[in-house]
Amino acid sequence: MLRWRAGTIKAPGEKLLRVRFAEEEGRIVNIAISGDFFMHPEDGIERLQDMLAGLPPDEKIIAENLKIFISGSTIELVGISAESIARVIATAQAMER
Amino acid sequence: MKETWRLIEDAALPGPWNMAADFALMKSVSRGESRPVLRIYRWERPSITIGYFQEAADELYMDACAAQGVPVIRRITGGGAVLHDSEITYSVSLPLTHPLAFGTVLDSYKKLLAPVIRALGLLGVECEYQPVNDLVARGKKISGSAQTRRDGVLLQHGTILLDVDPDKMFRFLRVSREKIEGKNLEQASSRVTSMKAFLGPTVNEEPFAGELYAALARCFGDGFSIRLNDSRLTPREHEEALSIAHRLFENPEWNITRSIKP
Repeated sequence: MLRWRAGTIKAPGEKLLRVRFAEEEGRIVNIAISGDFFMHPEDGIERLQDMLAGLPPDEKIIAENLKIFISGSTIELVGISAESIARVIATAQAMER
Repeated sequence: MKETWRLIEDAALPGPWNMAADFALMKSVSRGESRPVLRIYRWERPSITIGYFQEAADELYMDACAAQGVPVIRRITGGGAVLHDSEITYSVSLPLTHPLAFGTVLDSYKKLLAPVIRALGLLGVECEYQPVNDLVARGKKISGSAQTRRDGVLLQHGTILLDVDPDKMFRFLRVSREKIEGKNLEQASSRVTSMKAFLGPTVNEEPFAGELYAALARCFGDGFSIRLNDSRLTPREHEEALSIAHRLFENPEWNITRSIKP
């Protein structure tokens, strides 16, 4: 069964970051990340969202995977970090849908 | 021999056109058809832009925007939602091979904002760079900028607030609980300021806007030791801006539902 979750975070010194995602059997199946941060190039967001699909919404696992993914890509994050993306995913609350 | 840039000083124009003109100039620089460009412009009526990564419905009271006829335009740059009302906006397009684009994104913000800081200082408003993308005067935001890098070109555009009406601003912009960190709306609005707050309410906006255009051009020229040649969009850039405005910035599929790519 799909379970929808959403969260918002503003880590100190960073920008606002929102996530909405669907979780099925403990895995992220669909995720949208939004906020007033910067990412260069901007289309990196789709690649990053695709990478997150299939992972469990676990802070440590997400952070580790994001760091590996970002360091192996040309994506530069400004005003957000792998840690805050992992945190907001792990702490996202169930949402009405 | 000094490097030459184009200087495009535009009047108050429609929001979608402003964003399309910046994008068209960026493409022109990318094709090698244009020198670096400094463009300075205004907004023909209050308009909202949101950042590339923002969802309009999360950031704005869409009903209020619709009721007041305030267009909502999604930028190709990241960053936050802005009500463009009484302000001057600048944009810089330059190739990534230009020394001003070297280093990190923050390095280039700092370099490109230096002449903006000097221009405000010239007009009596002392401010400083506050990373990531703000200028603050006496601790309050007076200017915000946003940058994108694509197809070998850096585009940075940013606002300089001439006047600000927090009540009006927050009729359209939602302030998230997380952003104000437990502060109330009054405190959130007190974090924004404007040139008028420093120079007094009697400052006449029209001549003052002209002075700010001139100060920006002078400070970019002096600060970067460049020569600025008066310019306007070429016919090709104009045509491209029209097409971009139609395809993206006047299109709800770009602005609101984010269902198309730039």
